[in-house]
Amino acid sequence: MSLAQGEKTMHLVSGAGTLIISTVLFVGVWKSSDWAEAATRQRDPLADLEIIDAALAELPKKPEQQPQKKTVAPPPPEKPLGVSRDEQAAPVDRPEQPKPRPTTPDLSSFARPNTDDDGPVGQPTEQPVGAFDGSEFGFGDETRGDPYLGAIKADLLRGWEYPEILSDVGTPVGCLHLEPDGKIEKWELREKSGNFELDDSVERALAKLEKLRDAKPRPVPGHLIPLTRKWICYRMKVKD
Amino acid sequence: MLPDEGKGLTRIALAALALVLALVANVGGAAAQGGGVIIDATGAKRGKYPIAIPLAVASDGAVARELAAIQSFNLDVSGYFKVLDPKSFLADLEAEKLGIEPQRWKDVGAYGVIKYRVVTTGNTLELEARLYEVSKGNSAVLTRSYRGTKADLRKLGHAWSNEVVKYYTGEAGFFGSKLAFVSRGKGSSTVMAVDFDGANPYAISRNTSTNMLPAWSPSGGQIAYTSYMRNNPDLYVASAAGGRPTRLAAYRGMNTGASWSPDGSKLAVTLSKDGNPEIYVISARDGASLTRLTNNKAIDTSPAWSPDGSQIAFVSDREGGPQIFVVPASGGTARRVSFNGSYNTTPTWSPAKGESVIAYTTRDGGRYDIVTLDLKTKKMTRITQNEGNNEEPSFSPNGRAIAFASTRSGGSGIYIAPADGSSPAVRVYSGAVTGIDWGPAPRP
Repeated sequence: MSLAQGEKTMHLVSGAGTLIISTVLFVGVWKSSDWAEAATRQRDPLADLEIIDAALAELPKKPEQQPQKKTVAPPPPEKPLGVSRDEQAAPVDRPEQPKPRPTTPDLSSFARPNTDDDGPVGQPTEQPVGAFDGSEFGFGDETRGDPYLGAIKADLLRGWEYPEILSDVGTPVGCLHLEPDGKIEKWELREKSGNFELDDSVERALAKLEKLRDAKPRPVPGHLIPLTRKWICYRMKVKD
Repeated sequence: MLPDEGKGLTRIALAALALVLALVANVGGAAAQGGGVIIDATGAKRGKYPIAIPLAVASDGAVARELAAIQSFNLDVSGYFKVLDPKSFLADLEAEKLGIEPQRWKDVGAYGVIKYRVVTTGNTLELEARLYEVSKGNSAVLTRSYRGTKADLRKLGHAWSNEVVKYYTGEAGFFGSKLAFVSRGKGSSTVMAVDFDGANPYAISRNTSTNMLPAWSPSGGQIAYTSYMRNNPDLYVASAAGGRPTRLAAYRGMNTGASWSPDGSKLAVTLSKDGNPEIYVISARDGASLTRLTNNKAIDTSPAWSPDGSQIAFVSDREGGPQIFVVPASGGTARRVSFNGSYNTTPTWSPAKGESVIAYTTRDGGRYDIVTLDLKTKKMTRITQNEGNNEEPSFSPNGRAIAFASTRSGGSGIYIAPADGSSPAVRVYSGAVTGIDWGPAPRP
């Protein structure tokens, strides 16, 4: 083997080695990302979603702080003079003081007998609404939430039919991705209810919504553009 | 630098670039997938259950077609189902026979599938029917076998349809029930009965006089009606099969508008024996007057007993035009319940459990239409609109449908519509008719 041939072989081996390492790294990184995402989904498909009460997707602004008056801390109390400590002196036995009794008055005689059917007050039945309280657009039920996402929800519900003779147990979650022009890029049933007919009805409603929005797209308003890179999900409940 | 050395460096650079691009792309994809918002969406529209009724194979062709038509009509008018068009079916029916390949039916949007086989031997008819829910695989959720004569085909078809409705709703269907009505002729009118789907009409009254306002007894065995056969509008009771009636009430003046109490022991009627039409309760056994419910200078008429027996609706013009009032069946103060328009008549109660709904005829712009009124929520639902005159409603035994007389352009006759107004009415009987009363559910 000549020197030139040896050098050529060395270059080839070096190049191939680099390529293999790159590929392994590339595939490793790619797969680990896929596995991580798959694992996340398997744990909880909705874990990475933020629950909001209505259709708001903009973080509320922090209220501006009012100017505060400067306060000066009071000086520490002065120690009394002329007191010495004799560490050698025997400890003085002091009689144990009785513990103070609780000051809560006994109101049991004022208690009303529990004759109604209501059980004890438990956890709130509604999901926490997070930071999106709709204050930007009003607090009334009819005005709460972002009007754009509210319109999507209205269209979705308008196209959602469910046979009244079937059980309505379950709450499937349908998700969609919007394009900036308002068309629906893709949709999926993110969480199934386990009830075939209910899940099917939601899939049909999403398909109808896609058709409707594709036919008459409404561009996504500026403040919701960040949402076009996220899932907008609807937790579908047949009735209250 | 050697040329090959340059190639090697180029390869390294390309590999590194690919790796970087891949990482960037993956990070970008993850960003697009991650995060988002979740919004509660509550309130599906009340829909109908899509069901497929393919034509039976390995059966008597003509009988199988008739049975498919009976089932399709029944489930369609029940208000619960949407019967799918057989043209859309993808399944290989010959291969499936009485079974199903669920995915084939899911593909056409069916949630339920009815399969059946009907065979005739001489005058004997055998029917095997199965109901499948496609979500539950290829095992039937309901199976029934019937045996009868060829003449029983409709009866067996109704019995099977009732089983299907009961499987889904827990309540009996109204298939196989009958309607009573008055067929108007020249100079006379006849009380008749007919299957709810318009089949098998027959006469109840068999005289040449004026006969009107039929009312089924709760058991379905008798029909009360008013007849002028003895020159006075007297109240008669006849067998539901027709034949010679018994005169029950022959007070001076009107003896009209009978409505049976739910237990069948009493009748609410309009009597004018004291000079003015008032509502009375009389005994169903001998016609003896028991209670006078109204005492008013106005005309009080058309009583209708509520399904729980506690109230009676009637029509009165005590506040001007005719309006619907409700009075306790044991007597008491009447309260007005209809406030739309100036003319509301012929009230009837829905027998649906837990409901307090009446239907009545209302005049709107010179035409007559059917509306329902929920007495609890005050919600009014229009059943007919802009389709001729529509009068004298009567609820099906389960309260899911309403029959009424109509003169719409599709032809005069008896029409049936869902009681929630969710789909158009269908005509079940043609002719000049009035006084519709829907009989009780057939006995299983």
